[in-house]
Amino acid sequence: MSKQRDISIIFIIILVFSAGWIAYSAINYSNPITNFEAPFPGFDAPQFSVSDSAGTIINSSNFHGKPVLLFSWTSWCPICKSVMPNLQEVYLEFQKNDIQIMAVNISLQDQVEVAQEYIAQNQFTFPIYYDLTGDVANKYNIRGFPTTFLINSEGIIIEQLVGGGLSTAYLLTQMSIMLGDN
Amino acid sequence: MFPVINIGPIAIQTQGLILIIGFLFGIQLMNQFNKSESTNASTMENMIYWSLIAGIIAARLGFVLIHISVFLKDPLSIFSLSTTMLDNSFGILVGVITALIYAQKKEILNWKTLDAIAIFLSVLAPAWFLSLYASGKMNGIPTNVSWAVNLAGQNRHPTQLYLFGSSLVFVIVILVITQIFKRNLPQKQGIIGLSFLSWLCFSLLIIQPYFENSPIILNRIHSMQLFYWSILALSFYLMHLLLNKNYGDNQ
Repeated sequence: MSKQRDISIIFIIILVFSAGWIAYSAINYSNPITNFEAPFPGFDAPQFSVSDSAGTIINSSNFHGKPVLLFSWTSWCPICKSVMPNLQEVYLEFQKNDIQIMAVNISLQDQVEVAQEYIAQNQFTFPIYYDLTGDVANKYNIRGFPTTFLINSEGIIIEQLVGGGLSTAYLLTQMSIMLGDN
Repeated sequence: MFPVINIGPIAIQTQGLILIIGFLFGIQLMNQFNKSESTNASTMENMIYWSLIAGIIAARLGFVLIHISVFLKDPLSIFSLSTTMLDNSFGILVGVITALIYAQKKEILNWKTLDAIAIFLSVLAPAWFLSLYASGKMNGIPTNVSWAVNLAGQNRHPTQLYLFGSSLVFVIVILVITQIFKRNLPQKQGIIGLSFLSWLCFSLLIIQPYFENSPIILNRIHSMQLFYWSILALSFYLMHLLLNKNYGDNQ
C-alpha cells in the first residue's frame, strides 16, 4: 500500500511543479509576438526584389497590404508546369480582387529565354517575374520546385507548400480565405 | 530545416517521408507488443488502418464542407489527389471515433488496447516532431543558448528537437523496461497508455513557453499550458485509480 502512496505523492509533486512552471512562464516568458522575417509560416514574409518581363525592378513592398500568392517555378520542372494552368484559372477568377499572384521564375536555375517562350506558348496572362539575382531563392530558402508561399494582407506567411498539391480548388479556397483576412 | 531532399531531379518532401517511416516503425513495434501480450495484432493493426482511412476521407469532406462554394462549381475536384485540401481537426475527430467504434465492435475496447495504441503513438510522436523541425514549423523563440538553431540569421530554441528528444526518451525507457517486450510490466494494463499521455503533456507543458507565438490569455498565461496541465492531472488520477484497483485485485 505504501508503494501506491509513494506513486500518488510523486504525481502530486509533478502536478505542483507543473503549476509552478506555468506561473513562472507567465512571469518570465509571456513573449510578445515578434516581427521577424523568415521563410516559414507564422513569420513576416521577407522583402525581395524581382524583375518583370520588361526588366523593371519590382519590390515586394509594392504589394504591402495585399494578400500575395508567391509561386516559385522553373521551366524544366514538370510539377510547376502542371500547376501553371491552375494558376491561370485562379488568376482569371480573382484578377478583379485585391490579391496579388506572383509567379517568380528562379532564373539562376533556369534559362530566362526558355521560360519566356514557355509562357508565350501557353498564353498565360498572370504576372510573371524573374528572380535574376537569386534574391527570392535565397531569402525564401527555395530548395525544391515549385515552392509556394501564401502571405496574408499583414505580410505574414500563412502557408508554405513544397511540390504539388496546388489544385485549382485548393488555390480558390486559399484565395477566399486570404481575402477574408483582408 | 530541410523541407526537401533532392535526389537528382526528384524532390522528396522530408516531412512526409519522416512521418511514413515513423508510422511503419510504430506499427511494427505495436505488433511486437501485441504478440508479447498474446493479443490479436492484426485486429489492432486493422483498427489503425480503418481509423486512418476514415480520418483522411473525413478530413477531405470537412474541407469541402467549409469551402462548399468552390466545390459546387467544380464537384470533381473533391476527388483531387492533392494532400493540401484536408481539414485536420475534423479528420482526427472522425479517426478517433472510428477507432472507438471498431474497438467496440471487435471487443477490444479496453486498457490493453490503449497500451498498444500508445506504443504506436510513442514511435509516431518523435517522427512527428522531427518532421516539424524539417519543415520549419513550430519554431522557438530567440535565444543565446549554445545549442540554438539558426533561423534566417537569428538563433532560436529548437523546440521541435526538445520534443523529439523527450518523446524518444519515452520509447527508449519503455523498450528498456520491458526488454523489448520480453518481460511483462507488473500491473501494467492501461499504465503504458496513460504514462505516454502524461509524458507527452508534461513535455509540451514545459516546452510551450519557448514556442514562437504561443497563444496567451489574460495578458500573460500560456493557454495551452493550462490545457496540458488538465490532461496531465486527469491521466494521473486515472493511473492512481488503476494502480489502486490492481493493488486491490492482487490482495
